[in-house]
Amino acid sequence: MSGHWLIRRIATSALVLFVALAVNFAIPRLMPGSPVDLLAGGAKLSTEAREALVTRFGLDASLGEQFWRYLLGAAQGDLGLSFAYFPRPVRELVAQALPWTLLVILSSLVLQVLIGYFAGVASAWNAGSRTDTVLSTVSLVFFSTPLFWVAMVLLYVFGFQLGWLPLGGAYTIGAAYTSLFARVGDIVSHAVLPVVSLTLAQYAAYQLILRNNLIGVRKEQYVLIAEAKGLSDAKVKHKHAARNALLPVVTFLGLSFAMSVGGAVFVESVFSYPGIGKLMYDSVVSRDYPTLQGCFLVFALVVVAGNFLVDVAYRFLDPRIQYAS
Amino acid sequence: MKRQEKWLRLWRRFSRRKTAVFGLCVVGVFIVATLLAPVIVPYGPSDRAGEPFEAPSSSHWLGTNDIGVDVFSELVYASRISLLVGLVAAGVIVLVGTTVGLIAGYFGGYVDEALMRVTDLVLILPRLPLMIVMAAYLGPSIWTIVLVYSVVGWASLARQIRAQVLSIRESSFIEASRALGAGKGQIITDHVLPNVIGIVLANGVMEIMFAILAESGLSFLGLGDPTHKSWGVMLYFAQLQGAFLRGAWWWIFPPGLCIAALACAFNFVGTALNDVLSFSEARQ
Amino acid sequence: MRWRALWLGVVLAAGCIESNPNRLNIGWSESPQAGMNPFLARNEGDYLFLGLVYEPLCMPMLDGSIEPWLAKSWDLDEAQKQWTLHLDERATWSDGEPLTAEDVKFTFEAAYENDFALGSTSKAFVESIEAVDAHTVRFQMKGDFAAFLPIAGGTLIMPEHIWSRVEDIALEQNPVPVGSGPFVVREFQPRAFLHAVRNESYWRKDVDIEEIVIRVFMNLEAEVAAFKAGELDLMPDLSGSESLIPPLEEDDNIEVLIDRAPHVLYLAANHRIAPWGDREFRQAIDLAVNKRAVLETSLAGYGEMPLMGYVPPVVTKWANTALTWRGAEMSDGERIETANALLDDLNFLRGKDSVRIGPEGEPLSFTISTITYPSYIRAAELIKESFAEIGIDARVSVSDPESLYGGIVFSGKRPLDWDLLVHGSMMNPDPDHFAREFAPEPPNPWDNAVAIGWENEEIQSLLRASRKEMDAARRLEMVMRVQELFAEELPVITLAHRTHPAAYRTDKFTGWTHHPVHYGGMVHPLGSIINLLSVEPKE
Repeated sequence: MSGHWLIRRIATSALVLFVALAVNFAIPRLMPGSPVDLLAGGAKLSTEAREALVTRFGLDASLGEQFWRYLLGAAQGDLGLSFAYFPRPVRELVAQALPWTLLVILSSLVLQVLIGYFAGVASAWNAGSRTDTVLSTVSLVFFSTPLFWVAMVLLYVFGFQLGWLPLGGAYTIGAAYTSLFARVGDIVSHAVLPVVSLTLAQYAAYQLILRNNLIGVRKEQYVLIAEAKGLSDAKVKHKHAARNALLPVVTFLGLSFAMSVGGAVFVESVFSYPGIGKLMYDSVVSRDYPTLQGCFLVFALVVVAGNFLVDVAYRFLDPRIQYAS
Repeated sequence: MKRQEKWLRLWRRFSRRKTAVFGLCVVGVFIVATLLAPVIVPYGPSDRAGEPFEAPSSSHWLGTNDIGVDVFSELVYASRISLLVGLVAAGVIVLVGTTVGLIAGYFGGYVDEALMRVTDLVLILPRLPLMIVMAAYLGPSIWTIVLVYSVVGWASLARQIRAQVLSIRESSFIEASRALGAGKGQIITDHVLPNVIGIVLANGVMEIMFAILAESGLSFLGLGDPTHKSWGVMLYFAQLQGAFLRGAWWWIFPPGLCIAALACAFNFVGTALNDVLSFSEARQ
Repeated sequence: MRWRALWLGVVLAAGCIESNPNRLNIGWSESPQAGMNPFLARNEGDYLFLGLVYEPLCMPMLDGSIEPWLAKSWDLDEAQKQWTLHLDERATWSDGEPLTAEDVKFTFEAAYENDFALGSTSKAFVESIEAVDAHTVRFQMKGDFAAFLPIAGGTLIMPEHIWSRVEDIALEQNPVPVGSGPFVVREFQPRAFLHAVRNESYWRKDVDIEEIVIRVFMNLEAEVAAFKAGELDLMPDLSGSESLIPPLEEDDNIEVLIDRAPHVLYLAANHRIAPWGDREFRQAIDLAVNKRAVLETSLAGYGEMPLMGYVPPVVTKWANTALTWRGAEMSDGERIETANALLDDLNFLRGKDSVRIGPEGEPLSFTISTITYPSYIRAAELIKESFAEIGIDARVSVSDPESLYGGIVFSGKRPLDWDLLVHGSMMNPDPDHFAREFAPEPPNPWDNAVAIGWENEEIQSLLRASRKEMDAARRLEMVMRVQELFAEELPVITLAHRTHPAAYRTDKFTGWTHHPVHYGGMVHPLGSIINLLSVEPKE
């Protein structure tokens, strides 16, 4: 049973990736202007050199053949050559950037869940009270405020004005570290602002989900019994009720990946953080189309992989669910 | 008569929510400001009315930008673009999402299967990166933003509409109309559509919020139209021209706060509508 | 409690990072496009990064003089057909191999063969290259080429023993660059930084700076903030970000250098579209455009009023400084009035909404295209305002450079869908560049004259002749005359000449000198090796 489910799930993921590839392939060819200009215009050489590039990129072949070659290339990790850093392969640029993005996204997801959890529990336990209103309004305001603007303001306050945290980058360039600890500290201090900005903009959903869920749970019998037994309030909260929050949170984690990669583009741009988001922003600025599209693919991959892991985790956590085959 | 009463009841329930009324007021203020822009503002949106980087004063309420344009005037005019993009994009999304949802839900079968697979795919692809890729190819323009946002935005609405349609499709009054020989088109417009209008309305309002946020984000990344200054484009220029380094907080804070205020307002209204309408539907 | 301890640890740890006080930190706004492959070098950034490692034959200066570098001297034979360059015998590669005439020959031949931007301008004029002996290289010329030395001399020379083994030069990333320059690369991360340390056996002199780091910021605010905080010592190019200069000037440890630059900001029209092919119409437009406002607003005052002959005034040797803008002496009202009268005389009469009517009965309405640079957008908006005053309707359209220039340049394959273009270009101080732009031979779609569809036999033949005139005095005369004709003809309408602001800190390093050197088609008021070699740590 479970094997069947897994195969099905892997096939779905593969299909999504295939669609992402197809979309990626189609976009430059659907846009106004010839794909030759867009895909080979980056290296502004002579006309002969241009022709040579057209041949090199295979733009003279039929569409079907081009797509087949594109898929084969992508399967081998070949994402083409960057225009802006020609002739560096997009794969190399992306590989350098990906760990930083994962660092920011994953740290932020952990923080989002933690903040969302505490705020959600506090709201639910005091539903309708002033605490609930304040917490819910605050999260809603953060949710409605443009992420890049929150990031700009944080950069201004903590970077420019107070000088507490670095203004950008992921680590001090060319630094001689006295210890491993110093190195980790350097990386952490650079990641603080990006992670905090991303977290502020996106924790609201967790709070809301938990709040709505726990208000229901609270009314359930066993919580009442626990209270009657005279367990301390905090113990009841965190031992019994919040355990029920696990599944909705895990469910939402999948959606969170898609939101977080979007957010990464903004925070990394504002803080010059050298991840995929910044690479994508830079490619927009320099109209480095192959890199731009490479970034999109990697983001799609991150989202699909994230969703897949979440689904597996969900199944692992909730034995009640029987997946129909 | 009966319908009128129903709406009145809904409005009463809606207006009991403080946040909803507050949101509605904020939206109203922005719409009035947009319509009356030429009357409200002291200068034209691109008049160089003062010295560069003047701090707020009585003649320039929100100071001036890098070329001496009055930030307040620019801000009020920018609300036109931001609102326009938000409304148009939300309109397109409502149109497309509702149509797809109705068709999928009502016809079912292969049509439903196919449409929902496409919807799932659109939902799972990372939205913002996809919008960025498309906008980068299309070039900076406000219609680019409307287009790319619409391409990715319709799916979640379509899904909700379909679910609603499925639940009412088998209801007795539709069975009855069918028995009386009503055509599919007539059933959709006469019976199905009125029953999903609540979802459409609540979601449409939320979509305006998301569209305004998306517009500001894309513009900030330099994908907006620099000749049609929205709040996002203002922030793009502010960042590019070193507003923070010049200490020109008056150029950075107002556009961001406007976006946040308007987005919040739509969010309040949308949430309230959703609660009120789904509650009333649940009772039916 | 535990959290506080951890946080304290992080803060303390961050304080434990050591940095060499003898390290020069340079901020730059974009990653070098060429990476570490000098053959692909195209822009200023490429030459800033690669110029630490590779060196040119000579350093062409902005004032028209030429400083010897790898070539210590040169001569041209009597028949003016052979350039002989004598290389400095001391020059060696960083791997210890001597730098020889074979390296020079290899570099040029590779550039010619592949049409690389680097060095290929001289291709059409060079018959053959010969390594006469280890330190003498001879260029056999095909025809007369007046600008041979300033154009070809700036080419960065590469070691043959490394590059001859490279399979495809156009795709080489050159991870371990071997150059003759004063620095060797320790680490290069595209989009992030270049970390170079001094070449301990540099042939020319002992290098005082131990390390150089060029950090890439795509965010200018962060760059300037890092500079103000002392994390950077030099920002070689602030152009386009003039609004950031005033806060720098307040700082006692910062010097801002506002250098004139061989830059032209201009309005180009598509001459295929009526009535832009009409010279008198262009003259009226030239008068109507408020160039003073362009200088004051779009360039924030960091520039000069334009010369109508295109060659920027900083190129003192060649610029015809008598050709100032005719509108400069008039008041704004007078200027607009004169322009309106000119247009009335041309019979472009005002129709509905007081927009003038063109020759075919349609209202004069145009699109002003430009790219996403704020200063260009502002200039386009100002031009639109000026147009409104003379009854011409306009709208501003902004595109990214790639698609805009692609659309214009490859318009052979596409409908001609552009009217007007606000564009800026950095000129090579030698007027050969000017001649190439407006009288390209053979016609290249990238060159100005072809792109705008302009032809004028008198001016173009004079321009072509000036490229081949070997007599300096006669060449100067021709170039001056061409500018006079240009100022009447106005193939493009000059708007302003931008300055080249740069800034450096004086608290860690001293000995900053200012040599406006120009090679690789780019200007380096402070960032080139000729400047950096004189910089030393303050102790």
